[in-house]
Amino acid sequence: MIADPAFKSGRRLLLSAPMKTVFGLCFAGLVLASALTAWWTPPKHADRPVLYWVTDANPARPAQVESFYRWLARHGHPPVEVRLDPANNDPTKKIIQGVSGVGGDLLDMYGGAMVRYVQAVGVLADVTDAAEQGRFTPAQTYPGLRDQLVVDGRQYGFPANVYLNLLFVNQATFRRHGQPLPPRRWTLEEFERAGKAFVAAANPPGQRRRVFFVNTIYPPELRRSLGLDTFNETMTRCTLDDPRWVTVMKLIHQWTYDDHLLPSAAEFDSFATEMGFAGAEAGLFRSGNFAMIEAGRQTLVQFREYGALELGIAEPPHGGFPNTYIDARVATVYVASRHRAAAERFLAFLASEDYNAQIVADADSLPPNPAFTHSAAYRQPPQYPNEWECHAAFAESAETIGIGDSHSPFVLPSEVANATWPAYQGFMAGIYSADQAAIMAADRINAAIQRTLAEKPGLRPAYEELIARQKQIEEWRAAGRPVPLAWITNPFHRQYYRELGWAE
Amino acid sequence: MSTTSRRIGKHLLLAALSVTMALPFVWMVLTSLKPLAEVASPSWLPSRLQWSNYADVFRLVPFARFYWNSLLIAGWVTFLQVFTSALAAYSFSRLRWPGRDKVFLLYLGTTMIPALVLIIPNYQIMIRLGLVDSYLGLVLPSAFTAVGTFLLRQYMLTIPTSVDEAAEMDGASKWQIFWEIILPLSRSGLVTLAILVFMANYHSFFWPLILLKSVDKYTLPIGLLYFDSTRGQSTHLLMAAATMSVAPLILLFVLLQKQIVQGIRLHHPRG
Amino acid sequence: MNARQRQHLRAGLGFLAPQILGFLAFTIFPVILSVGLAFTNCDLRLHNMFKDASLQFVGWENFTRLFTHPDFWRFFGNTLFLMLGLPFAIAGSLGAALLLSGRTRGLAVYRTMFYLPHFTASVAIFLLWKKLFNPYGGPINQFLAALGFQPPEWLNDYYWAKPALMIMAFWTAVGSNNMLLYLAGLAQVPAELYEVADMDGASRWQKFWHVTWPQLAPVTFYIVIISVSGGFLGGFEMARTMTAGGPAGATTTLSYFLYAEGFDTGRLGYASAVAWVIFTLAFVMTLLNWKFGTRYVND
Repeated sequence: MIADPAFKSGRRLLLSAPMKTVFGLCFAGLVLASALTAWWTPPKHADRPVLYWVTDANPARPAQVESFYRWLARHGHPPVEVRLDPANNDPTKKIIQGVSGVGGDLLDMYGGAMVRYVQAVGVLADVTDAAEQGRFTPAQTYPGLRDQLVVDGRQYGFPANVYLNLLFVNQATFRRHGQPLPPRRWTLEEFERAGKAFVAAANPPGQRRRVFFVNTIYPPELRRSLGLDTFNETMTRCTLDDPRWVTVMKLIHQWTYDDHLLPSAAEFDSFATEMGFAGAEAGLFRSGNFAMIEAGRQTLVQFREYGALELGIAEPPHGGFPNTYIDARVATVYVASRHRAAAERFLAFLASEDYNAQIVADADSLPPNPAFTHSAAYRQPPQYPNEWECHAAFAESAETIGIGDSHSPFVLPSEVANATWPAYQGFMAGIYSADQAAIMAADRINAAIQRTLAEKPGLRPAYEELIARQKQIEEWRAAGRPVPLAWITNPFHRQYYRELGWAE
Repeated sequence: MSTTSRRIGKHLLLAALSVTMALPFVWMVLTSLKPLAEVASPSWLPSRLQWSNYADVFRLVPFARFYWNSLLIAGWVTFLQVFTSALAAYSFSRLRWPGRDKVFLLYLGTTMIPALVLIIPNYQIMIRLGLVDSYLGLVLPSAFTAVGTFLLRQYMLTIPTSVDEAAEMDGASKWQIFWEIILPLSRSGLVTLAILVFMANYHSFFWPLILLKSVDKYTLPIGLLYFDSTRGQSTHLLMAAATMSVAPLILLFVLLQKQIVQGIRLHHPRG
Repeated sequence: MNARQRQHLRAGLGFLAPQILGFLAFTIFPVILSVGLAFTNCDLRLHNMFKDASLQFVGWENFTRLFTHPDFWRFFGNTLFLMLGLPFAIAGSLGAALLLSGRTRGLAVYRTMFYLPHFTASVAIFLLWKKLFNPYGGPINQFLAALGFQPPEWLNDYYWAKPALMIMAFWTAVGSNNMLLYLAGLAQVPAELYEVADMDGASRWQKFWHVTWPQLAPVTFYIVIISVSGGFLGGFEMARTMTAGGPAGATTTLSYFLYAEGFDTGRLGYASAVAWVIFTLAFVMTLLNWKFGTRYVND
């Protein structure tokens, strides 16, 4: 077509025409196109209130929306239309649109940290009263999630998907190398011993190492298992400048670079890029390169595509206090939503059987309401007998050892992350010693706390009170007196003190 | 070295370099034809060509509408920017007026401001003007930036002033000199600017992301968000959508590139 | 100002007018607003339509906090280091333009192929470069190992991550916008100048050095200025998708720092201050270039 002489000469004519003609034609064309656009824009009308749900492009969402409509009908509520809005899902965008008055009605928050930050900006609606009426209070979900939903005593959302990581065990891989299967609960020493034996059996000497014991271990879990959290009991100070954190960092370093139980960042990246995009761990688990992976129940969705893998479950190894992190994608309501009551009904739907049954069936993380994890439908899905141990383990762990992340009101979660991870990576890369890294992280977070107090003087009275309370806690602890639970605001320490009998 | 062997050598070099440049593009197109399960496999070739990926893109989102929006917005921004920049560049390069160089330094300065920091104030301005979630709001902030003026001024500086003087002696006004002489002699620069501005605006992501809310106004980069690849769910569709979205740009480039390299002669028939 | 000057001014401003209005409204005005913000404690958590805290003037506090940030100077160093590759990148794009200029038939195909990286989704480019730099089994390291070297871990290594990014930037620069700008610049060299040089019996190198290079001076000036300021403002997209600013902050540039410290925490006042410091650095470099460059450009 381009070689056609008529076209060629026409083009030459256009492109060598005087400038005024060229500009004039372009202008006319654009005006015409704009007029057409205005004419083609469909009018917006709806005979029922429209809720915009700002969430990700997960293929399960339309089915969940349909289920919501049925639930509404069954309970005699007026119908609504829910429109999915993944293009507005960017977290920065949610905030900017929220503060400008144009946010969506249902906003998904990815993790308690995001809930806390967005709530501080003022964009989320307080749903405490609606939760009482609609029965979607923190009592209807896992206890470990309470602090991810509640800020300063008021509730701001309800979980839609619950995330908890345990170690999936590929039993076939263990058998292939003649190793015993790991126990559900094991200490750090038992883990290390089993790991060393495994990698020795699985990696023939002289070749590039291809088989690892586990893909990664989440350092904060090991830290908590030694009784140390990011913050102290009243969350007024960062406690990472503690020998226990140094121990954990050195242990992980040793497991990675000396014992080769875990792949280094370089080794892992080289696997990942060989395999392509996200989801590399599941593929490597199946192929036997990782005997175990630390992942959540939602990984079963991928495993189901691989056919019947022989699956077992182990908890992350512990140094005295078994624990794992629990978090959620939390559905929240926009404070300036025009259909607030309808949006709050959606949150009630999330606690209902209709919604939970879907999550139970498609294995996409844990269902938000633990009441529905005791049924045979959850624990023993008939088509997947190899998964039965997994479902039971996730449900039990979520209710017993799952503890949410601790968020101090005196520092932003992003500041905590920006202080801890570079220090940790710096140590692993050999730039700092472990002691330096620990002190650096703690100093930065404590400096950030002081900065927040300087910016928001209104927080200072509460801070001073908590400092005094902290001193009391430490004195009573040293004297062996049981501490009133109400004094402890840190969710980890509340659980820790309770388990160890240090509280009353 | 004879001319023929030099030419062959040049071709070989160009061919080798072109292949390395083209590889990612080839990978993108091949991946767009793969079924999802094969996206992660190390081999580049799909086992079968899944053309339905392209149809799926149109089925899952109003892709045609995104296309139209992107072309329209980029078209307007390009037109406005090239036109106003050409006028301004003429003022900075061919006219002498008091304070000219100081004002130009100001223009120059604004090209160094991180765009991120202007987004929030611009968004506030759009709220006051009631232009949030509108086409006009997409076009206006990008249509009058200093970068185009800077570029065209540099190109116009290469035209010797003797040409202007000759025309003035013939009695031409500044306006006529602009249209009849300087603009045609700057054709390469104008076309280059048009291509660069069109492409930059076509790919513009952050401003439309923040400003737009209604689906029927989304542009292509926002539309690509629907094919979220962070969970590895639809990488093949993402590549198909990405390939389709650059097709007009490639066409534009192929058609206009001759304009860029076409040389100029100072002694034009019209003087 | 006499009448003649006033007439010139009117003509000059007349041509400037269509652009200046939009420029004032959407560039200068936001600039003034954001400069003002840099001296306040503006924070998304305090100042929006749902809160009623008032904006407070804090003087130079935001700036002192920036300069006393323990890593600021390291990130500044990262940004400068990554800019060391600029001369090579610009030379590379000039070389490509020289190879591809002219109206021979086949060249149009080559030109399009050279420019293809700009038509490829950046996520595809990043993924492929990650594969290339794969420490165990990637083509680059296999090649180096075959030559007998101990290959580095590239993007995962604290000291080699930046060179890896610079290599990738060079490849991107060869077939980039700068190549197009040089192609246009080469085309605008009047053919008469070459004819005169030929008549004087000039060699190819002499023609380049005495005709082409001086004629390209204005374009080179533009490219240098834009590349330097791009160097200060850039590295954000690459850092975010390929390395997340790591390992351990090795590839964190000033713009990535701006986003992480300023926007992720909602402290807009602080973010504006950071942005203006970046701007000042880039502007000072540009002024130096301007002083140096006007020797070559005939104004």
